Amino acid sequence: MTCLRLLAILVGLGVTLSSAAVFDNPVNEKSKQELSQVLTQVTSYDEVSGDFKQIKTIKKLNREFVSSGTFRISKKSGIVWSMQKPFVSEMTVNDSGIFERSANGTVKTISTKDNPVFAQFSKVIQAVFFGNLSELESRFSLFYEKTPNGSRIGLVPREATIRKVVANIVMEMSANLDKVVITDGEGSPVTYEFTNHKRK
Amino acid sequence: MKHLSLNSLNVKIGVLLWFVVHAVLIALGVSVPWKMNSDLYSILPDSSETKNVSAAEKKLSARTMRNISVLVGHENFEVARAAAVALDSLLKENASLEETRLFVDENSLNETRSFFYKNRYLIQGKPVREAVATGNLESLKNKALQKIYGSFSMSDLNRLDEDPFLLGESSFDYFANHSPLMSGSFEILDGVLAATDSGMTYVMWSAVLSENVSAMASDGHVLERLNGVLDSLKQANAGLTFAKSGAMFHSYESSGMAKSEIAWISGVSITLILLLLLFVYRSPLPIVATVSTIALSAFTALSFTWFVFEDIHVFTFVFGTTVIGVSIDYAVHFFTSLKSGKCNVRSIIFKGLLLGFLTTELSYLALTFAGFPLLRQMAVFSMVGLLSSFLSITLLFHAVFDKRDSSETIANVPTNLPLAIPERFLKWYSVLPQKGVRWALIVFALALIPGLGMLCVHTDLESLYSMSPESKAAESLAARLNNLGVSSNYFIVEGSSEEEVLEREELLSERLGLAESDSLLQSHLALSNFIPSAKTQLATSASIKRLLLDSANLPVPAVQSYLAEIGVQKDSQFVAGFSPSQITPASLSEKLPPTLRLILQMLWIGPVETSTGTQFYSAVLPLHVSAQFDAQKIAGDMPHVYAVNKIKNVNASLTKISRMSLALVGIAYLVVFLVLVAVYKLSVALKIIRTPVLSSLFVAAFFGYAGIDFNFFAIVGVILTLGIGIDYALFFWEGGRNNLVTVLAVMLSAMTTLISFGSLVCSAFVPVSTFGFAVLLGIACCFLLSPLSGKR
Repeated sequence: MTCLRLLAILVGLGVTLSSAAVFDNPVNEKSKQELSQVLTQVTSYDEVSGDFKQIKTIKKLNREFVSSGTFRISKKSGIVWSMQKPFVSEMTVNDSGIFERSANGTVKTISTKDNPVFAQFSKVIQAVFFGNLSELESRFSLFYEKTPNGSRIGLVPREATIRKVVANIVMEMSANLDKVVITDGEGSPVTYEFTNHKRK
Repeated sequence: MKHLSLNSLNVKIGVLLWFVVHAVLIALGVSVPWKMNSDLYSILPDSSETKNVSAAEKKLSARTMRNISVLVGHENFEVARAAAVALDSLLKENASLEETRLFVDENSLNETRSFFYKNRYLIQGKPVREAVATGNLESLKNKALQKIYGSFSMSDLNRLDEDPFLLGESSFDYFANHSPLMSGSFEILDGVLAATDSGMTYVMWSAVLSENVSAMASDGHVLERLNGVLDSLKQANAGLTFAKSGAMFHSYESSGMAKSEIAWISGVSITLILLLLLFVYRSPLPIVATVSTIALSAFTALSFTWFVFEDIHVFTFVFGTTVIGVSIDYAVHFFTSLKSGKCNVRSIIFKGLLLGFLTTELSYLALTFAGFPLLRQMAVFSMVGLLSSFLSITLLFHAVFDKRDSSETIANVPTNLPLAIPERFLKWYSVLPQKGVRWALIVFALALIPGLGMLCVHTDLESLYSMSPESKAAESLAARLNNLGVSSNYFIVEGSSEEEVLEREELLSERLGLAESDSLLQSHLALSNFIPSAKTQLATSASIKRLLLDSANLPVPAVQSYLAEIGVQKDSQFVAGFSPSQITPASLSEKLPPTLRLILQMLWIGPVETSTGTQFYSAVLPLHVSAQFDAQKIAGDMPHVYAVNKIKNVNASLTKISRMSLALVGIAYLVVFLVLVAVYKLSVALKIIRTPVLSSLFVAAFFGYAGIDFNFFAIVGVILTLGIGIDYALFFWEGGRNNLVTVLAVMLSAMTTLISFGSLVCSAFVPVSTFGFAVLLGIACCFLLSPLSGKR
């Protein structure tokens, strides 16, 4: 049991270390071109769908919350996040706002028109999933490295205020966006794993 | 009464009396500290609706007035930011600025979050309060699970053991969704607030001016320094633009313009008057004496007004210049008669002068009852100024210039005066048949009736002030980017304590919530939405505790299973949150996070001394209101809640005061008429009084025909016409219609008045030009009609 725990810690540490390594490689003129090409290639679809698994790790409490479901990213209608487990809910993020539908059908809407803060939030989420380099560049310091399976992009918010909430974001991609890790100001990561991509 | 004379008064006693009166009036003024009031709000009358909260409203207005902001814009954010940083560093140490704001405190978000976490069982938004009150545990649980498992949730889960229902996060979310700070287009960029509009990026710099900063332009004013800094930054950075926003900028700009306007208007009118007097008298002596009298009158008026009111508003000065126009008439009559070779001039002109003086004073006296501090101040200033002039002419001039011996009369003196013009003027009137005149006057009066019917007695302050296109564009940009949607309608809530104010706010807030569901407004801003009353906080805490814990202070079974579901193994930390030491209601006086402090500064008026002792006040702002929104109706039956619409209320008050002033002057005129009847006889009194009355009606009818609002300032002009105009008719009656010296004196008086008041028409300030225009029309008409009142 102790060995297993140690292994888990080592694996966890390994993931953290390997993800953190991207931050040793700030984007320069040369790597920016490469990054641009990678993003264009990975997001060259009108719509992509698949499965996701989300792992929220609360370091301080040594607790994980896992949820899963399907996603659909459409350049036309935005991002639709359908959680199936542990309960059903759906979230849509697009230019007009953020819409949350819970299992009992109630919809919570935050219009970007009414709330510019959420408009920014919506823009950032869309920029991450649509690979909008100029939008990302305006809000984050960019880092990029090649990996054996593809590439990894690191994003560090430019604003100190935002860094208190989101310390960094790491995106891992091969032919598709495979994984996104968002680490909060306390160092707790939220990992999104994407599988079964279907492009249109 | 028919033999009014001062002949019996000894010259020496007269001079002594003149000296004593002036010495007393000036000494009274000197005995108090001289203070100039330039606060534009203080001149506005209190409406009946806001009378009870006038002091609170003024405190809020004065504080709002002190807030200024500058949007530093450039196509390139870096350039805009660098300029804003330079602006901040050059001004932040300025003693006239209480504080400057440019950089966003990076800890503010976390501080706010911690505050709402600390008070999670006390401060909750309406949705959570309602869920708790109805025992809807499922709703609390689902909301928390959504935060825990939901994607892209920025909720802080590190305190899940202490706050398993994430009530701190719910409270924080409620704040984030309702805070005015979140409604604008601004985002944090490189540590500052920036927004883009039409291809430009604007960086927000704001400041709070110190309490002692005047709204009037002056040398060394902090806004002068600010403008200097902005100019130099503009020169150093091509393409840099600035949008200045805040009432203080407009006040500063207007008063700067007013200063230069007063200088050139009075300069031109004084020069013209002096040239006119020089042309008529061909000697500098009457001019020097007249100017000295006017200077002394103004100084005496100033001193006494200072003594009565403790401070003088700068507007009293602007309107007070009219004293020049009135008091010059007396000097003109004295010197014209003197120059015509008359001896003992005082006895000749005294009756007309005294009646003219009394009637004018009566008109001013009536204005002191109008209940409008500025009008009262202007009336006192004018009354004292006029008294000083009257005493100088009748007592001092008599002693110094009057030839008391008939042997001193120069036989051919009239040739010294330019009598050709009055002669021609009289010729026009001499050919008029008496019957024809009567009919002409009847036709003239009848012609005025339709115009009077079209008259609209209404004062609209907004139509009287027009911003420069640059200021208008800046305010519109600031409003667009802030998108706060504040309207001119708002509420002031009163209470004997902070707690009472918050409790009353909550009742109002409920009512506004209903209006929101009727789409009368989008939302509202109330302090109690963020920091509820202690009563509500304790009730919220009790409801939450009742829902989550049992009588033994242990989690109820449903909560226990939820805690297990989210992995909380020990409930001790959760339960400890309900210990009495943790449940202390948050108050306005405790150290609040910066984001809440800003809202507090915006809405909390605080303690104000009133006639009933110290009362506490706050403002509640309805946002994005529809045209159907009626604040008065909402406040309606709520005690201690006052609907305020400053502009609307002031407009209504000014219109009311205008009507009241007209009524008061009407009464004063009735008294004047009775005096005239006593002095003369009814037919003569009617003949004298018809000149100013018809002239005033002519002004009103002109405004009616022209479709111009007959506003407060036009009405003040008419009141002045009644005060001055009667003098001409009196002088003509006393001097006789065919007396060339009288005609010349009246002509000269009218010309000087027309020049001094007429020049005000050139003012860019609509109130001043409207006032000047009304007097110009009225006096011109009086002058033309007055010979018809003369003794044939």
